[in-house]
Amino acid sequence: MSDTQWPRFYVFKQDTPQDVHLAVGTVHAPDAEMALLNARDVFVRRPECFSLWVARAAEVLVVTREQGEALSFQAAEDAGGGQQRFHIFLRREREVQHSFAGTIEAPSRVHALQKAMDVFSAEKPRVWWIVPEKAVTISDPLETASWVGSAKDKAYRQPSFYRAQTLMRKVREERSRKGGDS
Amino acid sequence: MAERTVERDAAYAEKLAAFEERIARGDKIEPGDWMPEQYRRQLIRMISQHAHSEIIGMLPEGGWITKAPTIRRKLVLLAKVQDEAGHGEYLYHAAETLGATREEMIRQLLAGEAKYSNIFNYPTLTWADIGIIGYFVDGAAIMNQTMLSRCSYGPYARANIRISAEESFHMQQGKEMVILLSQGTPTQRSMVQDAVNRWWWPTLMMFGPHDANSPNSPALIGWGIKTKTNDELRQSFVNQLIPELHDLGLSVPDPDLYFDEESGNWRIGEIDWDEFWRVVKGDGPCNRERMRARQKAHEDGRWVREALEAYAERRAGEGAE
Repeated sequence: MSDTQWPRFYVFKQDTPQDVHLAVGTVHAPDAEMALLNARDVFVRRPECFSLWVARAAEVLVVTREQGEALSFQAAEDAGGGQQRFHIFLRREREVQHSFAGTIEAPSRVHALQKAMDVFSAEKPRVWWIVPEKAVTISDPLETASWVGSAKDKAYRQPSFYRAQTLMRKVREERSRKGGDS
Repeated sequence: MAERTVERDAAYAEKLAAFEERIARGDKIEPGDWMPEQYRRQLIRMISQHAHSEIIGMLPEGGWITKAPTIRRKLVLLAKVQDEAGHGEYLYHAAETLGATREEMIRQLLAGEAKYSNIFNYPTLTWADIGIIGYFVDGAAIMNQTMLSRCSYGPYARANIRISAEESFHMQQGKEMVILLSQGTPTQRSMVQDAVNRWWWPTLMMFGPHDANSPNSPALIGWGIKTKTNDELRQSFVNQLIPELHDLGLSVPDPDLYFDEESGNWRIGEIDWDEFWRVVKGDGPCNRERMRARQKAHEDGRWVREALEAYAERRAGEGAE
């Protein structure tokens, strides 16, 4: 491995238990354990993280709607009879983010894509992500809670912590009281 | 032969029309979509320069972490610089979706072949500079990034949305500092006025050359990469800052500044573009220092990368999951 081009891992973040996982970007790391730690450093500086997943990019299938349609016409070869689980992420037409839609069982990624295009057709996605469950490493919920706890303490990372607006108003009031000129 | 060329040209024209129609509709271009080579190249250039700027931007402020006057200010500065590292990561990722590699982008930066925002080639001479960087430089960056959050290329738009959400505290903490210093003791007031005098023009240059001298701009705007011109953004920034600075009793080093009643704009004097190009070409006050710091950081971190690799290989060899 060269020292600047480690494998890429896609990062998926679920902000609260009421949200779904969103694709937020990637990290480079030599292994999944380090990828989770890097993902924490890059994506969890603010206290919005209930669960973090990392998935080896090489094992994830990312296709646009057009690419997906082209792929699904190819004869998808049977991957040896075993059913695997695939997490499906998609980006709907007018949305900006890629979000988790559901989990599908299929013998291969392309089979999973075909199934997903059927199951989620009503969503009319522009982009499909097929993420094999075995490629995913998930954060330990106790650890994630401690990252968030630490981030919550750091109120100075929020703009509301600063008094610029109040101070500016006071300065302006003082100036007009004194009848100040510019 | 000629027939095939005509067919190819027609196929290309069709693809280009569909691509431009998609942008006009407000749809995002995503990795895997067809795109003109010029679009891809322009974006790789812009995004990688933006990423390098975040990483190099950690240096002028990083030097003051050990010299912050209070523990509160130290924690705030640490958090800000940490964010900037994260922002660089978001942006390198966006460039990678276009086919750039992390390895090549880092190599270019360390070899001094890559450009990054000029503003970071200026020195931070006093503590007031830290406040001014937040207020001016992050303020200008926020305007640019807010615009780029609506960029036609999905990964770059998403990176800028994430950056913009985190960046607003950077500006607020700087502005708060500048307000307090400007209303403080005579020493504090003169320190912050001196910082204004040194950072005002470089900040205005952040918005890039005048529109008439920006050969890339029309294509970037046509393809939804930029939605405002350099001069438009610069004017917004000036209109926002000047009244605030005047209210704080601070002046800008521009004897030609005046308020144009008719347009409602503050008109600035001539920008010294010779200085801009000199600094861009590597002859600024801190260019060499920034490069040396980045190269040293890369070298000093080598043992960490080697250790991680050795650990990962050992675990893989042990057949661990």
